[in-house]
Amino acid sequence: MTPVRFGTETREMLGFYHAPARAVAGAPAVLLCNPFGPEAIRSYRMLRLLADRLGQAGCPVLRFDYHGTGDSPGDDDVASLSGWAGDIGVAHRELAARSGKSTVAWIGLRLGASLCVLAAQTVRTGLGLLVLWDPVITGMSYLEIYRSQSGPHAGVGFETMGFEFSDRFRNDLSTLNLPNLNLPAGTQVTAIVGSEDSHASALKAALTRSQVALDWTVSPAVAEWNSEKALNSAVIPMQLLQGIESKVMERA
Amino acid sequence: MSETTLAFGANSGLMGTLSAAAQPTADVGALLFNAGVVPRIGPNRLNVRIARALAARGIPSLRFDLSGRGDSAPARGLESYEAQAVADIRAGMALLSERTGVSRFALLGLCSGAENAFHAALADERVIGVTLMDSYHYPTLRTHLNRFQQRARMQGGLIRAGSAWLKRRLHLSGNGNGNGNGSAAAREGASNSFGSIRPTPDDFAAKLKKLIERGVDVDLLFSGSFLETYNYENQFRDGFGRFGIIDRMRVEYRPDFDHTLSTAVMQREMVARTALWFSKLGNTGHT
Repeated sequence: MTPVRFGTETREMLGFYHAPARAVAGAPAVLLCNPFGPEAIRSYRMLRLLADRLGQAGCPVLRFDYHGTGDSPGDDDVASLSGWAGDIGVAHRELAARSGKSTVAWIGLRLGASLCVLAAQTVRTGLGLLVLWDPVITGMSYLEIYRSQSGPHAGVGFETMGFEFSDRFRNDLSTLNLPNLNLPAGTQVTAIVGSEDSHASALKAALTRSQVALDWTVSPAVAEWNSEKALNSAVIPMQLLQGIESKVMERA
Repeated sequence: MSETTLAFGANSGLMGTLSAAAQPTADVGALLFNAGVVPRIGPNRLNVRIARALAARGIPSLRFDLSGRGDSAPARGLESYEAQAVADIRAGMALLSERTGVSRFALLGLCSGAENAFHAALADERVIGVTLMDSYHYPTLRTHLNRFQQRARMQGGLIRAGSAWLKRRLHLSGNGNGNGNGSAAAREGASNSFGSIRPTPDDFAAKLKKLIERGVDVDLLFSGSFLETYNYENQFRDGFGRFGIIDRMRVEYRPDFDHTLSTAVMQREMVARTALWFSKLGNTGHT
């Protein structure tokens, strides 16, 4: 695992490149795309372990912090969905260049999955597989989750657990609606959702209409990592990681 | 300011980010590490903000993951948890010294990180300052009375609160669990909420005294998140006044802070407080 800094001087990012432990024919390069805020902290070790597993299986892997998040340069107030989707494109090219692979699989968790769909609107070449892991399907419902937990805030917007939602970021989120976004026909998509609620059903219908090659899984275990209990005990859902690894190796 | 992320320590198993000041002004470097299982960026990115604020004041820092957390590899299991954490922190000191030339260190520990910082400060004489946020709690009689009054207010009267208190006492004495407030074990040598063993008051005071007599600036910070065990301004003074160390250290109760500094206002105040404290350490003439 090697720390790498990439991007431009004004929009630099920190990532970790996991070189493949062994050569495996057909093993894809894999880009891991973080969720946001508290969810990024909760999932950090889990995604590190997923990267390790994929590296052991022969995949070159890059995981990274979007600009202005985690350990990357930049302040929180630069948060924007378009900026972070652009970061995915930059990370995609960085991984392709480092690994020598022409196609890259993306695994996005929660808001990271939504950002992958946004990024796929512009990164048209070299996307081998898109794994949408418990995606944030509508920004409004996501905002509601955080708004309900937010405390008093002297500035603009609101904040939850120390992460500020600026007006710009909040406006970005309020317009996010994955079923309205089209993916190119034939794109390999694996979606894993926690339940078949109305939002998930709308996403499934939209993906089906887009004529992507869809693998749709409903698993209540998908969100087990995202709880107070899991945070305090650092629980890692190994079966879920194993399942995602299998899908990447089978489909990419 | 420049930031570099690199592996270091035994078998290069530890991972951290070094923030170097553009214009170094201090011979003191800061070490920031995990609070519980939270990665090196700290709760809500607090450590990143602190590191950058320190760099702006000319103070270099290393924020890093202890063994088995964040991006660091698991330890080989040859040391106890406590000894491994101390070894990891010493490895961080070695890196910071090698890269920036500092020879003295200040540690910031939150939650279980406070215990790790405390042990490292005791073990290594190059540590000249330590902030321990929400480390060990020692409730006094007044702590329990305050809590009883708070409960009475919430539960609508003394009788209801007294009944609930009695039930808790009976439950605690019935199951032999020594973690409850007010039990003998809670006062002396019990496990704290993070699962480690809390020193007895005499032991904690003796160790604090050792640090103070060595010239270490000791800064104890208590948040308002543990009303059961810490809930008023002078609690530490009441519990430890007899040891003659209170006036030689800084003790602050911040009921407006919570354990993970979960609002932007708390974060900003903690960053400012820490940056000011650390920058003063650099100018105190410790040798």
